[in-house]
Amino acid sequence: MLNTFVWPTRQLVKYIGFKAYVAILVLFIFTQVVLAVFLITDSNTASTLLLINACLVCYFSLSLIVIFSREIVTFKTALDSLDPESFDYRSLKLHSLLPVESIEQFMNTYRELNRVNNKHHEKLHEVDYSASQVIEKAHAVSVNVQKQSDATTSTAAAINQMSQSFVEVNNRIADVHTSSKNANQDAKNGRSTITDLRSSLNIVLNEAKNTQQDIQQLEQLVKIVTTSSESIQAIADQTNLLALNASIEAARAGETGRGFAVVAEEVRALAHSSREAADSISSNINAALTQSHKIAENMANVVEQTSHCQSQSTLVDDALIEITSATMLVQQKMENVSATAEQQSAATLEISQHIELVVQGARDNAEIVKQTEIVAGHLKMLTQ
Amino acid sequence: MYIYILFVVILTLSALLIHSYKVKKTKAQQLDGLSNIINIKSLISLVQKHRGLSAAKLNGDLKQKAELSDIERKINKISNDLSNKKVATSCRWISFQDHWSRLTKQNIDTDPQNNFKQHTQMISNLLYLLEDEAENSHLNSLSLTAMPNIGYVWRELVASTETIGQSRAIGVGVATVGNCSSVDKIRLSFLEQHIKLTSKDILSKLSFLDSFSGQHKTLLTTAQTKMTELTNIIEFELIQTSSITITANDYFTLATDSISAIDDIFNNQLEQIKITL
Repeated sequence: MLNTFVWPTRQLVKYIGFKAYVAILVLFIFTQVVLAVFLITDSNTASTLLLINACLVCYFSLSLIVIFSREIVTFKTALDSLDPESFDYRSLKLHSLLPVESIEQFMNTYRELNRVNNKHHEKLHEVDYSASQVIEKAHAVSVNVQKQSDATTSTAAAINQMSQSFVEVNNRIADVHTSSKNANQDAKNGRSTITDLRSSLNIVLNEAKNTQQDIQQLEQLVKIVTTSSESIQAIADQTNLLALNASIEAARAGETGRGFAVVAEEVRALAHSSREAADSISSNINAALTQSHKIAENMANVVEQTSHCQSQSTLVDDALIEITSATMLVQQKMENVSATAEQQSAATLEISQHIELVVQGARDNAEIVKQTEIVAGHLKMLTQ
Repeated sequence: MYIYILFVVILTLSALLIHSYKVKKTKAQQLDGLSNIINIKSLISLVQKHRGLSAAKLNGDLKQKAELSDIERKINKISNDLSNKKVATSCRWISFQDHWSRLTKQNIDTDPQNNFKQHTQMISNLLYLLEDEAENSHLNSLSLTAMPNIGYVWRELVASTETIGQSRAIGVGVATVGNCSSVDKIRLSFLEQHIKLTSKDILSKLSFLDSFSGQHKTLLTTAQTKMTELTNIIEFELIQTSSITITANDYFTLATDSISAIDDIFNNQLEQIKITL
């Protein structure tokens, strides 16, 4: 009912504005005063008008008071309905009849607060998102650090193994060094043996050569003997001829020549025996000659082989010299390798110690990352 | 008695005149406000372009100098036009003019990051100024009852052009370098979320007149398609990928198309407001 009562005033204020309405109200009040003055001179008309005017003034004043109180209640309701989260001024619909400037100022301030609130919300969202990213990255770093730690631990174990291998290698190098020393010594011994062998071979060669010369001399003598036996053969043949002639003459001689024939016959037999002996000597000499030829050939082979052995022994000696040099070189290199292996072993030990430090560092990093993740989680929680 | 009746009649006529004057004044304020808003919107677009070109210049590309000077001239012209209006009394406008004059003088010495920050602050100030001008010119849901969600145009819709503009600036840099740093990823993701929110939530809330229904829906669909394409590119081609293949030019074009689509909706809304007035 009250709404119906104030409806005309509300429409009038909407139509002409609050200031104009107040001006009209003031005019009506002024009119009331004027009419009150007129009442003295023209009582009937003035009193009627005064009454009408008074009613109008009362109505306008009362309805204005009611509108004011209603506006205040509406304003309070609107403020109560504000969403403190969004602070959105557009949700604050104020159809106010009150002076516009104050409402406008209020709305401006509220709008600025809305912007500040939005900015903070955006910053919070960005911080929230950044915190999520930090958590994600921290987790990834944590995983990587764990992998790094595992890889480093494996590397440390491998380096320890490598260090032990280096020790073993060093021992093997020492063995090789000893072996090369022994080889060097054996080569030297071999050389001295070869030298003795060469001396013996020289002796053998000389003896073989001497034997060859003796055989040659023997051949010469055999040839002389052969010549002599040929002579004997020739003599035997001549003797046989002679004996034959003698036999023939003896035969010619008849009875007187019988004794001569017997002698001739005996001479012939003697010549025959001589011839046979000479033939035998000749064949034996030939056999001896053949044998001596064989011996000479064999001796020549012996000389050849001995020479060959000598040259081979020279080659062996040269090879042994090379072996000696090589083993000396191997010894020197083994000594270098041994020194290097010792250095590497020391370096490996140092690396192993550093790897331990890296492992410890990785563990510390993992802990820091974990703490970072917790802090980022806390930050994210704060933004919610 | 007659004098009293005459008095009442005069009061009634005065009331009618006052009402007529109020209505005219409000309409003039609204039209003036609309004109100022168009100018402020142009200023925002020009300052966004200036941001990009000055960043290129600071990174060594001196070919943009002429275009940069042209944009500065246009900004100065609009500033001069607005300086004669009531909006010039706004502290935000005074702050913008002061900031702009300092920035154009110091542009040679500033570094790209600071340059970006200064321009972004100016644009933010202009966005607030646009909204303030809309409210002060009674271009709000209380006065434009046919468009109850007009408030989204002055804030969220215009702000979305700046969100896309920032993602364009950052994305072009990322595509040029071929690498997206962690900070760029965070910024781009944050901007991408804003663009998605605008596309899915805000655009559908915009009010429109029945006569503009078809046009409005077409513009909305175009804008949503462009923005979805842009957010997909940001997500899959810039943030999540290990190897960035999209060229700076292609990305720039895509982002600019999205901004243009939003601007078309904005201009369409202004057309509808003009018809309403």
